[in-house]
Amino acid sequence: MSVLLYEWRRISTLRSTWILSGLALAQALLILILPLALSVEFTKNTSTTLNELIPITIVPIFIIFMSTIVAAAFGHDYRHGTIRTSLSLFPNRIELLFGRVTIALVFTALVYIVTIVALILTISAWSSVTGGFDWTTFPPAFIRTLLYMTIYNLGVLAIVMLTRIQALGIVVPLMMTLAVEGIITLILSSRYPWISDYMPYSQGFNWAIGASYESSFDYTSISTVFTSIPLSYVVFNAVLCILAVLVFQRRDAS
Amino acid sequence: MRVEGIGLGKSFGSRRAVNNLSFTLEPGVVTGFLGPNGSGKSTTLRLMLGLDRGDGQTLFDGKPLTDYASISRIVGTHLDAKLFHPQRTARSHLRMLAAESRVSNARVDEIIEYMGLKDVAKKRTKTFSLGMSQRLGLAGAVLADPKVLLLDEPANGLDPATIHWLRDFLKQYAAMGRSVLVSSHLLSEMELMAEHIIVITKGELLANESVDAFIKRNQSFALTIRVDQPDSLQSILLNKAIDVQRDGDLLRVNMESPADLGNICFDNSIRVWELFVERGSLEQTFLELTSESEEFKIGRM
Repeated sequence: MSVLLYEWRRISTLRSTWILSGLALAQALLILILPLALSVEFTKNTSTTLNELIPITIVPIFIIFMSTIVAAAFGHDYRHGTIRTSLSLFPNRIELLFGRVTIALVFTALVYIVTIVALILTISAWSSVTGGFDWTTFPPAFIRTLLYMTIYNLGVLAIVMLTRIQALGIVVPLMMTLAVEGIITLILSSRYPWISDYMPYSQGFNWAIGASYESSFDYTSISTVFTSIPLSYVVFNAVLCILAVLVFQRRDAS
Repeated sequence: MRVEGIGLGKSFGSRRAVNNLSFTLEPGVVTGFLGPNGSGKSTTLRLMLGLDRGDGQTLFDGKPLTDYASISRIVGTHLDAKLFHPQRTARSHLRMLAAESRVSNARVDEIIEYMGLKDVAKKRTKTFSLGMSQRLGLAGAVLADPKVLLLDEPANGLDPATIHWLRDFLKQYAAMGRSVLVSSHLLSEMELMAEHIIVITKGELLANESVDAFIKRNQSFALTIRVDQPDSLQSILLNKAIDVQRDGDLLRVNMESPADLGNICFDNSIRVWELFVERGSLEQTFLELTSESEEFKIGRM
């Protein structure tokens, strides 16, 4: 489909796409390599798992870089008025939306895979300190993080489409994760003690990093990736996406 | 390709920007799209392309644009001189556009050369002057050799030589059977470029006819004459119920035929010192027609 080629050329001809991808990879490797280079005992002389790596290398900062690339997918078009160029070429808005979302998500997924491969190679190369890479828990952690990032990025896209402001797409999910949901929980938890379990971004974040929000949950089994879906996180972002599509279909492109 | 705008309309809040506008663009013709600032020209172009949501529809050979598979082979657009990502190079921008209709990289390079952009093809568009940006916009519009061109103020910022080139280019493009719609404020240029014009004010259609017919229909004085007895000639013409105005030594006469006026002078022994046909310009006619409906009037010093 020509829309996919168009979107690939759009995203790949921007210098910022490659700079942000490079920085995402570099920060993940740096966080891993620094303790190794300083000969800090990394994993208590046992092999390193992806569950241990994700909270420190992938989820916190890597996803911010990826969300910036995703936010730019619509953010640049609205900021520079080039949404008119895009929609002149693809007047069927759903077609453009499909191409843009697909390429943005596939691109960030590829950067994620490259980063994970780089981390595994680094751990394997430093096996004397790391104890090598533990493949047994690799699949569930890998898929969980990929899903978390994909849902997060869909929310980012939706916020940019709704507000037409690129920065809000990056800042709002970040602020929700880091501050807003914490404050809401703090205020309401005495009255509604269960509320912290249902804060969407906190729920998604905990699920991705393998922190238990259900104490009996087994994070090492691949089957639990799908049986333990963080529902608040999924529903919240799904609602954002539905609203964004409706608005995008009806709104003027100017 | 025949393009029909049918009942196009658009409101911004309580303001009706475009109201029930219908017109046709014929193949082989450059159509000028004229109107004062804020008259709704750009909104109409956006409505035609489905960029703005409004009333009515635009059909391209009887079908809406969404029914076509490769849009840029049907319609090429240039809506703004600066519709580029500033960090993208000119070549990257065109290659991106080329993806929609699978235009080859060789064609992209050919257009770059044709538009005189070869030296700046690898430069980021943020460094482009207005004139260079216009050329790049035009390059994007004609890249896939579309059957229809919709251009919004393409001559803004161009130097005289490039404007001359643009005029010839659009005429040649239309001569190959394509439909071309050009909005512009450069009325003298439009007079040379367009055969047909659509004039709108406050979103309403004011004229939709050939340039010659538009000027002729709205022109009140066609002949100017200087004679030895202006008072006598004025009274003779008024007796014949011919509209005449005195302007110093000159008489401005509402007649089409200089021969008829010459004969009247001869019959009445009036010596003619000067007689010329005063052809109204598009600019003059346009300004007279739209002066009352101009939305954003300039104050007087």
